[in-house]
This record gives sequence, C-alpha cells and structure tokens, in this order.
Amino acid sequence: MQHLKDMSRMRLTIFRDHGWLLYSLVLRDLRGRYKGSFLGFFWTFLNPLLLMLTYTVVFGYFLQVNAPAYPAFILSGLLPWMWFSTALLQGSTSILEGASYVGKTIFPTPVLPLVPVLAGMVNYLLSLPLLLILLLFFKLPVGWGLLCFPVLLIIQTLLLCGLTMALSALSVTFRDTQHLLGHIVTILFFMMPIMYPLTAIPERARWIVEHNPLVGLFYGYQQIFYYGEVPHPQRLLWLFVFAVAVFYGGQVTFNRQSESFAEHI
Amino acid sequence: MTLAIHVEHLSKTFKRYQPRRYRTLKESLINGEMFERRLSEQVEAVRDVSFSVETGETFGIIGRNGAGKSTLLKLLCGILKPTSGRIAVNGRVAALLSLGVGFHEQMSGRDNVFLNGLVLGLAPREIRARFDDIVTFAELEDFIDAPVWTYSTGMRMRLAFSVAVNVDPDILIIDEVLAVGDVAFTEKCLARMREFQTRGKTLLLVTHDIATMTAWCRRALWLDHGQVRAIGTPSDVAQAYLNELAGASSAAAINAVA
Ligand SMILES: Nc1ncnc2c1ncn2[C@@H]1O[C@H](COP(=O)(O)OP(=O)(O)OP(=O)(O)O)[C@@H](O)[C@H]1O
Ligand SMILES: [Mg+2]
Repeated sequence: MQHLKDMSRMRLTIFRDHGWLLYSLVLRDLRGRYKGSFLGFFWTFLNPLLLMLTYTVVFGYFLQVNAPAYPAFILSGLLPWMWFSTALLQGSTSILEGASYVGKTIFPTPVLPLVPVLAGMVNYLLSLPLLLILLLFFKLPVGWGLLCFPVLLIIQTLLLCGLTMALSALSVTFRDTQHLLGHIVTILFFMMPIMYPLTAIPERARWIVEHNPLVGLFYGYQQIFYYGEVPHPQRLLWLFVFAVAVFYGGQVTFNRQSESFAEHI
Repeated sequence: MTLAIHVEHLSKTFKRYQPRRYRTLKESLINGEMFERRLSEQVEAVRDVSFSVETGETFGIIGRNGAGKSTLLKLLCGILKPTSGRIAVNGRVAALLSLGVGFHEQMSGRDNVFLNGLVLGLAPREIRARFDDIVTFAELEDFIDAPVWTYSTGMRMRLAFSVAVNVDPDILIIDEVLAVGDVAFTEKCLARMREFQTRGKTLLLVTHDIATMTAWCRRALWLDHGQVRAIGTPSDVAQAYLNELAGASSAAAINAVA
C-alpha cells in the first residue's frame, strides 16, 4: 500500500516514470512543427538560413561588423539561440495551453514545460548540418573544442528546463509573464554577442554584456564552431553549476505553484 | 482482506476569490479601495473524511450538488493535493472524472488513446496491442483520426470509458459520466463493469441515481458539505439521505406557504 504521490510535483524520477509519455510528446511536437507545410522538414534549415542571410546583409555588409566569415559566425550562435528563445516562449505557455486536461484528468503536469526544451534540442541537432556546411565552405578550423559540444548541450538543457518550469508555473498565476517574456527575449538577443563579436562593444561598456551568464554559453558555441578554440574548463564548470542552480530553482518554483495549477486553470 | 484505498482525516480547502465589489474606477478611487486586496473566502470542499475501500469492492458516494464528491475523487487520483490528511492507494488507478474535458482537444482520438495509455502507465507496445479493442469497444472506427474537439459529448465518453476499462486498471473511478451514453452503449458499459467486478477489481462510483447505487455497490458513503454523514450498506445510506432530502423539501414547502 503506497502513499499517494502528488502528480503535479516535479521530481527527477519523472524521466523514468513518464519517459514514454515525454518521448511521444516530443515526437508529436517535432512532427507538428511543420505539419501541413509544403516544404515540411526543410523549414528546419530554411528558418535559420533566412535569418542568417538577413543578418549577414544588415550587419556583415551594411554595418560592417568586424567578423570574418560572418555567416558562419552568426549561425554558430543563432542556432542555439533559436532553440533557446523558442523553447522559452513555448514552454512558458505550456501549462496554460493544457487547460483542457490539467487538473481535470490524471496527467503528470510537470512533463509539459520539458517538452519544448527537448523538442527544441532535437531540432537544433537536426539543423547542425547547415552550420557544418558553412564551416567547410569558409575553411574554418575544426578543433578539439567540438568534444565540449555535449557539455554545452547539457548546460543549455538544464538551463532551459529550469527556466521553462519556473515560467510555465508563474504564468498560471501571473498572466503578464508571457507579455514580459516576449520583450525579455528580444532584449537578451540584442544584449548578447550573437550578431556581433564581443570585441565590437566599446571596452567600457563590455561589463554590461560580460556579466550575463548566458553569454558564456553562447560564446562557448562560437568558440568550438567558429573560433576553433577549446572553452576554458573552469568556465564550463561554472556554467554547469549555474545551470544546475537554475534547474533547481525552477523546480522549486514549479513545486511551490503546482498546487494551484489544478485549482486555477 | 486487503485495502485498495485508505483515507484518513482528509481535508481540502479551496481559496475562492471574490470579485471586486465596486463598479467603476472612479468609484474605487473615491472609496479609496484601489489597492485593497481582493477578499479571499475559504471553501472547505472536503472536511476530515476517513474511509477505506477493500480490494474488489464496489463503493458508492452520494451527496447533493457541491457536496465535495468530485473534489474527493480528484484527491484520490492525485490530481488535487490534500490540505491535510493521508491517502494511500494500492494499485493502478484509472478515472472518468468529468464530461467533455480531459482530452488534448487538438489531437486525434488515436493520439489521445496513446497518450492516455501512456499516462496510465502502459508501454507503447501494450497500447498498440489493445488499440483495436479500445476503438472497437467505443465504436469510433470512423472518427478515430478526427481531432477530439469535433467529437460529441457521448463520443468523448465512449472513448474515455473504453480507454479506462481497456488499460486494465486495478481501481476504476467513475464520476456520474455514464448518463450521457445512448441506451445501447450504456448497456455495454454496465456489462463491462460487471465483468470488472467479477475479476475482483475495485470500483468507485459517484452517482445521483439511488437505484444504480443500491444495485451496484456493496458499501456507500454519504457526503454532505464535505463531511461524511453516513457510511454503510447502500440501502441504509440511501434511506438516511432520502429522509434528509424529504425533510428539507417539506421544510422548504412549509416556508413557502408561511
Ligand atoms: N477549483 C476550485 N476552486 C474553488 N472552489 C472549488 C473548486 N473546485 C470545487 N470547488 C468548490 O468545492 C465544492 C465541492 O465541489 P464538487 O465539485 O466536489 O461538488 P460535487 O459534490 O461533485 O457536486 P456535483 O454533484 O454538482 O458534481 C463546491 O462548493 C465548489 O464550489
Ligand atoms: Mg461533481
């Protein structure tokens, strides 16, 4: 006779207990992304390609941002950024969108904010060939840094899961969260050296950007793909610790609010 | 005899927010209530409820509208978190809680069957093995690939019931949803529930139909304003419940005359 588990709580065992559910929801999300569109799966490449072309024209050509092989530069940061922003925006509404079953039937709510994160990761991995082609095209050196790639993936996944857990929970009680989030995502994008290298910022203003821990993550991607460098292990460790802290914070926030999902939706 | 469900001193309190009383911004400014917090009123939907259900037993719950029956069932499914008290459940639970909701509206019936199966603890392989049975039982062969939002109330109930009985749970919880099926389908459901009983599974029924309850249940509970008023044989509980209702309506009639 076991004590009844509260289904709305986020626990790490969710990956074991509801692995199949998570898997099939992620698969559905991926299938649904381009369902009914003529070009289908090719949008995975076309979306970043179109963005990259626009940025290349505006920043690489009009504004003369100082980065050789600019298309490769932008894409190495843009692809993980697209994963980041999409997952954040989708994840934050995930519980509200489940209003027809959250609190009305047996369903483990905590899987919902994780789905866009995992689906986004798969989508990101699938879009990588585009970057690899550019790297070859510009004859950029590919180094040992690539071995750090899985570490960056894990860091970003932890970060995103923590953030989507917190945001999805908060937006049930504070519906302003989504409006705010749209702006925050835009601001973050401009305040991070994704479209421009860090050196393009005047030195006395650099601290504004450098203190953002997310910068370390996206700079890491640029290091391994574009600069052909190996990220500093200590920096990676700090990032990892930070990501774990965010994950934990997200989990706590989620669980504090979890009681209200079933009652308020 | 082993217990399927054991509940001790279970309580659930909702906060119910009152809408602001004033009508216009001007009024609220004049009255200085602009920053006054909304009053929150507590609703004790379930109060200090204790009972247990034996494995293989069919247990009924009756009570007036708003008595807390659905809330109690949601607590038993782990959908709501108890404010206080303890619940222990032995076995896998499937539930039919409310009409028309509980599905992923945009997804097809097929996808919903899969998700429901996964949620209730089946592996994809097991669901595939049962899929045809589920669809055939629900008689929804022609609609299974249509999105659920196009389904009628009865069709939703068919699908939900069919999934719930076919995933082979140990405990089946039903909240008065059988009423919307057509006669033929209701017969089928009842037959399946009988089979369920004979296989020694536990059933928990909430119903407003006293006849159904006395026919099906071995024991029953009367819930009144969140509290247990009586537990016992269905006929005793029904008698007590009906007496009170009769008393209430005659009192109302007297008041109306006076
Ligand atoms: N999410 C909620 N927030 C606030 N109050 C709630 C909530 N859900 C239920 N209640 C309140 O709890 C009480 C019990 O409701 P419940 O749905 O359990 O009644 P019930 O016995 O199932 O009634 P019925 O026979 O009409 O189905 C009611 O007063 C209801 O207003
Ligand atoms: Mg009810």
